[in-house]
Amino acid sequence: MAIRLDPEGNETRELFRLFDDFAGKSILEIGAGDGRLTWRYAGRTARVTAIEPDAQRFSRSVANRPGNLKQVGFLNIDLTTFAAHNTEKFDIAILSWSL
Amino acid sequence: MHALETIRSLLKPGGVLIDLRPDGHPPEFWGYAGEDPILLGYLDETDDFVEYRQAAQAMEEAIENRWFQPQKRGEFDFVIHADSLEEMRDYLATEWTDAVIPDEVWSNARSWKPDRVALREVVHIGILQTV
Repeated sequence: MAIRLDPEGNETRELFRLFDDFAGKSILEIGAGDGRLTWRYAGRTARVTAIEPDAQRFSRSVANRPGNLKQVGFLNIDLTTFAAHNTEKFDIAILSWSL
Repeated sequence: MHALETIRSLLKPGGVLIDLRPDGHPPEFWGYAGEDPILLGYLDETDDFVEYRQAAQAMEEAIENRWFQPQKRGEFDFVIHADSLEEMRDYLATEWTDAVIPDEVWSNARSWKPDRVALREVVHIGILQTV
């Protein structure tokens, strides 16, 4: 067997216990890594913009994308550069182990 | 510009910030021999402790500056499972490059010969709202 990350689902269980108002919302995920957390909540949202500055992790996030989650846009960019060019305002920002 | 001030500028009025990050305590290595877990020791992180302290300080500043107001908080165990300590070492070498498995952990694993190992880290979740 390979490495297993949080097979117990503790991360999303605690996240959804504390906050579960994702329906219809626009999300900005900062430091999305390989998309592990993104794919776990994205199905509950209207739209996700996920940014990740590391090129290798970004590539894995795109490769790992589930076929049914078309509402997620992944960008290989850092927060400062993204903010300088972005004009959209989001309902929710997620700092995914990235502060 | 402060990263959290930048994030605030990207949110709508009343927008929500969800902050997930390790609580800063050393992650624990557990070995499983049968059903009983055995504590093998702790992961040695060289740089991350400084980053965790800086992150906590940055969040305190954001709250003091009234960029965000805390709403809820919680924590959970994030566990990485591997079939051997060698497999865990190879994973950490690519995904957690500042982390070192101390000699004590290797020594305990050789003594107890676990069937599988796990790395347990406590992670904090904060739910905050823009002010």
